[in-house]
Amino acid sequence: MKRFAAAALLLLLAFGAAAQEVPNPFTATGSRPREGFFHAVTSGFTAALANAMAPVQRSLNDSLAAMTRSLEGSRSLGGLLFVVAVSLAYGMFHAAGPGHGKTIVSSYFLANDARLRHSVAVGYLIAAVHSLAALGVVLVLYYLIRGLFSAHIEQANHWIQLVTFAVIAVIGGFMLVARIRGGGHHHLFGFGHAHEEHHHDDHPEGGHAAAHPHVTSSPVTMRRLAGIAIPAGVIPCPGAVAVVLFALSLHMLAVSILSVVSISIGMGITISLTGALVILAKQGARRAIAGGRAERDSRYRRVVEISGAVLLFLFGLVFFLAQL
Amino acid sequence: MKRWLGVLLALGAALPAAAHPHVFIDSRTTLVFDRGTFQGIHLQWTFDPMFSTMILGDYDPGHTGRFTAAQAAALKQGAFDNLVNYHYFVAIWIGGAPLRKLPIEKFTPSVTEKNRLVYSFFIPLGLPVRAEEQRVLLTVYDDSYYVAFDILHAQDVTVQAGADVSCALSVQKTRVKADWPGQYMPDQLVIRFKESPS
Repeated sequence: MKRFAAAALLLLLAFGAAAQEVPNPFTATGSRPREGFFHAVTSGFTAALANAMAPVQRSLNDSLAAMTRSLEGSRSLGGLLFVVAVSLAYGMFHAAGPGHGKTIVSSYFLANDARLRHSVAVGYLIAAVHSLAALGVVLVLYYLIRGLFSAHIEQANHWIQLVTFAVIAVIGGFMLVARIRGGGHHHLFGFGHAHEEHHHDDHPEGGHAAAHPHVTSSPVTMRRLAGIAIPAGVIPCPGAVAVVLFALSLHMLAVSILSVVSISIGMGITISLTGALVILAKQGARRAIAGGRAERDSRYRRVVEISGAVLLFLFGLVFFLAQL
Repeated sequence: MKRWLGVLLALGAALPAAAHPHVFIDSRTTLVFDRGTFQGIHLQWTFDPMFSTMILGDYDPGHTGRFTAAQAAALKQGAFDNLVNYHYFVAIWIGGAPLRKLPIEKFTPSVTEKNRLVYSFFIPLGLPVRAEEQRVLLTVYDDSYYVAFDILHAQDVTVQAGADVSCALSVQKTRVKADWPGQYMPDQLVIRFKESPS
């Protein structure tokens, strides 16, 4: 029971933090009309922590800006390392917040027969996707498109999110259909239901399919992980955009690349950890519920996998609609 | 085990909030009394280097350190007016009643020597100062956490008043009807003012 509670809690954590990138109140347009300003001060612990952390983030932000500026004249190794370290920490910290692909990755891992190494792989992939996306968007807006960067970045964010969430809803929908049909047939993202008839999952990582010849599902592959890492990492986080833009405005392209790659790796680490927690929780709950009985085990797997697909579908749909 | 769960739950609740904010503001408040009237509240917001850089790049592309009238108007439209949807992050209560509409006046953007962006604007109140004490409450806070304001200290508030007004300031937690126990309340400036006994 305790194990089950722990597992449920972990899953809750992964999904509780689901949200889109909110628009910048200053530069967005027509967003967030609020009625309840006078009594809508948010929940106790969340707000208290946000407010406790704000001074820390403020000083990080200030020192990152100051250090980047100091690199303008001379590229000291210490300064570069500082930028890398702060960016990395920022990325890790930031990805812990709403969105940033955690929900996508978690739902995918719920719905598929994922192993711990997949969560590591997805972290790398997301880091790569996010680096390229954030850098690409900022460079295009900064150098190629004339006009107001602050307005264009909001529009770009809006469109990227619109497309991304649509794609996520479609992926979730396909997965759901495949799961409900319950066949071992596999499509684009490995949506099929995995049939495993063994009683214990003693192989948390690797060598699984080889040890169990009954497995009919095709495993989670790098290509399928990439299919999930793209929507999970393609939305540039405002922090990364701010840092890149700041370095660019000082004509330091190399520093901006260094910084965005570091931020993305930091994000990848956090998302990997979240994915790993979900996989462990899934396994823990499975042991607690099924207790080695094959019938309960397969029923449990079906419930979890369908839930993962439903979550992914709803997540994509809700945030797609929110962007319209 | 239970302790462990508690820690996790707390972390889970906290993490979304910890990722923000993205914009940092030092807010300075000036209370303006004139001709026996509490004319209004002047706010001055100084932005962090990164947000400053983005906005200055857009609205002062020549890095002149100042805005022409046209640039200032464009900036207001592009990077301030949308705050109406956020109630300008400002909540004011007059004698216990919330001020539902904020008529913002005299919006002026400027740039500091250190290339920080500054917004100044005025919120007119027009409250006659009377013999009996009146109370105005002011909270500047973004409950979406996108923007973080610096910590409010009563001694940072400037009072512009003649000898005919006595004004006392203090800081307390915002007191509104909480939706649930343990709800976070931001700091709030309590302004007590009345005619000065002469």
